[in-house]
Amino acid sequence: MNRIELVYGSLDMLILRTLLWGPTHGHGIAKSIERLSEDALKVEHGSLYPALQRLQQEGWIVGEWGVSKNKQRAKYYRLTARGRRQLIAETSRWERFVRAITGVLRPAE
Amino acid sequence: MSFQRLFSKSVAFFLRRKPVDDLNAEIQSHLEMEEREQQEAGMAPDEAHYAALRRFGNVALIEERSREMWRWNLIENLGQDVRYGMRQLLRNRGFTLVAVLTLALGIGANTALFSVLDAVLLRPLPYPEPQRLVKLWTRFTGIGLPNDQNWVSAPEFQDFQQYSQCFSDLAAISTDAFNIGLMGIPQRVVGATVSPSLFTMLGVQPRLGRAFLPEEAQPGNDHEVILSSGLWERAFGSNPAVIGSTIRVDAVPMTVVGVMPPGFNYPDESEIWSPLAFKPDDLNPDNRGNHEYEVLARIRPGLTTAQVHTDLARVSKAMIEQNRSYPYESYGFRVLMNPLLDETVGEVKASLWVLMGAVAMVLLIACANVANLLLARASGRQKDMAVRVALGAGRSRLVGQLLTESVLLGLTGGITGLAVAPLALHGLLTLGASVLPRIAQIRIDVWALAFTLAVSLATGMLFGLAPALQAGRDRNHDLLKSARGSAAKPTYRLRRALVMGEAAISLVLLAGAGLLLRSFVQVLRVNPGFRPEGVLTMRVSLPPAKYSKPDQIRNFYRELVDRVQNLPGVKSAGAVSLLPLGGQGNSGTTTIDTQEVPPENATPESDWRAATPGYFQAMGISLIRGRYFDERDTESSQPVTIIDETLAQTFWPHGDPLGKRLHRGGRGSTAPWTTVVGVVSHVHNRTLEARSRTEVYWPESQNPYSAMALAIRVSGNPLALAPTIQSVVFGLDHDLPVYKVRAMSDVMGESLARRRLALLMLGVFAGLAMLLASVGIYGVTSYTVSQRLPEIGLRMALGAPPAEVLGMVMAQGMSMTLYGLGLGLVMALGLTRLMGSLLFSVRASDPLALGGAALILVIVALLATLIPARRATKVDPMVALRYE
Repeated sequence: MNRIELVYGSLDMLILRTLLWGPTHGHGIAKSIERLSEDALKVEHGSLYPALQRLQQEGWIVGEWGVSKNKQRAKYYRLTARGRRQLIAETSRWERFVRAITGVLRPAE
Repeated sequence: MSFQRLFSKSVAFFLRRKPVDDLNAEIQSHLEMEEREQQEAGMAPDEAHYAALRRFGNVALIEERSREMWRWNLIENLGQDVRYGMRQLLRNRGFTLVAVLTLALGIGANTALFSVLDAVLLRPLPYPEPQRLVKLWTRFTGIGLPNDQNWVSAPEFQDFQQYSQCFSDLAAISTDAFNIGLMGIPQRVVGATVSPSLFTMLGVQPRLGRAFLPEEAQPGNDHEVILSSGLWERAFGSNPAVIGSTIRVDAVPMTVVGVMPPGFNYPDESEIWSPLAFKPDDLNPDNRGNHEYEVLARIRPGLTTAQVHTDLARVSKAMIEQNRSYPYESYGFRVLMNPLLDETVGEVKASLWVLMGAVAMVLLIACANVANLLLARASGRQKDMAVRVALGAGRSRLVGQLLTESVLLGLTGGITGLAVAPLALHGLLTLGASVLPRIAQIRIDVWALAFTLAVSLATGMLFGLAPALQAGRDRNHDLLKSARGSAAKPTYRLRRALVMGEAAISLVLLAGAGLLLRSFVQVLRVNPGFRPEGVLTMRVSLPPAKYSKPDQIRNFYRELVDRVQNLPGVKSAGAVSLLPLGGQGNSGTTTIDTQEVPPENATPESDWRAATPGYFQAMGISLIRGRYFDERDTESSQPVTIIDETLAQTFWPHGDPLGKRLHRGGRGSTAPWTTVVGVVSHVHNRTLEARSRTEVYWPESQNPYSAMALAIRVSGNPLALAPTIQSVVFGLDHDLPVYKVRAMSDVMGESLARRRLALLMLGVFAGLAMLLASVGIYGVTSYTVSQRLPEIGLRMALGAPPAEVLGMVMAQGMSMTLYGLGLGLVMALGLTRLMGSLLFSVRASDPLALGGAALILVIVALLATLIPARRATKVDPMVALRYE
């Protein structure tokens, strides 16, 4: 299956969704996305970082240095209240978008 | 962004190294974790390292892109924004052009006019402590003077000096023109005879030589002159040896004792000064009524205005009491005081403030138009904005980019305005050259420029942000769905409101211009009392030294008038001491011998004129009763006089004035009685608008005046005959210059100059405002059309005639205009009241002016809505319907 290139804005949505389950670091987020999408969405790990910076700028996530389970220093991100709201908005928008496209591709029989 | 976040971000910004290291560490930790994972999956350490890196991507690139996310990279963003902004502006050339021109006009015109205002009204005079410099006048009520203000006589000046205590110094001034013999060519130079203290009062030191000494204010010691810098350069080639040399002034040898610094020309463009020495005759109590001097005074430091007024009241009382024989009390005499600045600029003040108001309004309209344009563009940019938001652009980034565009637009407009301002100023100065005082001090005022620039930029930025604010609010990507973008309701209402405001302001300006126009027409309708067409005038002044005996003066003028009358092309010619519309001067108390009016009311202040035979005919002053002067009136015949109809009607309302008597001076005066032999029409001696005094004429042969004005009625162009007349004068006396050679119609024109200037300027501003408003109306109507295109298409597809569509669109556009018109009428009624002093026999609520203004606005608006409406009717219904 071809790996679908993730569009800029959609990456944000995915990151926020991932963080909904709990605070994680950048590496963990990348792994989550890959796993949950059944490996279809291959995130070039590096592309996460600009997105993470931007999400911090917008105030949807905050990052704090912590220690991972492997006793490694890592920066953990968690969702803020605003981020939560943003995620809900984005998700519903996405779902409508999908419904619309599906409606055209596969009209109700 | 909350305050906390802003704070922490600022902190982070200043501790810059930390985020960079932070990111670096984060990425390193990510790589290590990936490495570990790969190792746990069985890869060798080296390979795991590279695998991790491969999975990650280009570290350096990623780091850079991440750093880009930090919006403190302002400069790079700014550069990007500027480039993008410029591309946008260049692509939409029409929009950019209109916006820039609008801004430039608003900024340029405003700055130019404010600069004039500032130099003329707001900046203080170039003398030390100018606020303590005042002019003193005498007040005589009921003699037809504006503000009842009269000049000062020599005895009165002495009284001021004697009785007043609040002034540190006083100076008497008499402006005049002098014949100077320069290099064999007689020239006429404007100058003044002044008290020696004038220069110290004005804090001015001669650049060469010295000022006058007090003892030079005595008759006989007063043969000194001081030259102006300009005259010194022009006529004496800046030669310092001029000090101590002798020049002939009015055929009298005078010693040059000083040269004034450049730029000093007080009073009234004087180029030469001589000391004022009162002759014993001037101080004769009988000549208390010869009000011929102006008085300048300096108030002592530390005195309040109230104290000065108290002192002046005391002086007035003292003067009245000490001079019971002079009718001070019956005229409500008082000493008046006027700040010097008011004197210099007083007459133009009202006009300038009105114009300033007008320009501010034009600036308002310009800003409203720019706002409108930006809002219009905003609706077009909505989709663009929405796409950006969908793609993840932060709101601050959007705002930043739009702000940059607006600033670019504003700056371009501002720079163009910078170019327009000097041009506008130059135009103003050229048009107003004869009318504006203190012209030398007028230049572009930097603060005005900065202010108007700031206002324009602020407007641009405020309204340029509209699309960002709009997009930010659009959470549902609604804008992406429709191909055209929705009609943003609040923006549209705002645009309509702006256009309504523009229409209202335009109406006010049009109404103002209309009122000025009506006033101007009314002034033109005033009967001046004479007929100026085809009359040539010029002045001649006989120097007292050469023409000391009255016979010499008489003979000269008799010969001159005779010769001129016999020239071909001359219908009639004569001379008079002062021409009509010649301003104030040459007046005095006149005692009328009449039974029909109580004696205390029979000593009016009248304009005195000496006239030769032929003068009235030349000037076209009609004879109402009796006869004109002629050869019968000589120095040995019965003393006669001609009066004007106002005097006749005032003092002999029932009887025949012919044969009655009057004499110069008050009741106690020893001047001889003169008999009335004729009544002529009243002449406007000062201005067309002002009421002038009663007029009394004496034959020149019985009242020789050394300086007279020739009036020559010619067939054909008056000025064409000027050289011939000049040669006649030259033939009589080689040393005599003629000056102020003008056609009488030009003199009339000049007296209207101020009014004409104000009318022209207000007219220009009204036109500009209307143009801008019509652009606004056009814009909003076009927008409406594009929004309602499907509806229009539908209607037309269903068979609606084009006229209906036309009507529909125009109704929309006109409704805006009519609301604006209504608002404007209300505003106009309130604001035009402020124009009071500029109006002449026209009410501020004059229906003709207001109605005319409304009509013009409606017509222009109709045209502005017609163009988009016609476009709407040409729409192909199928295209319109498919557009959605």
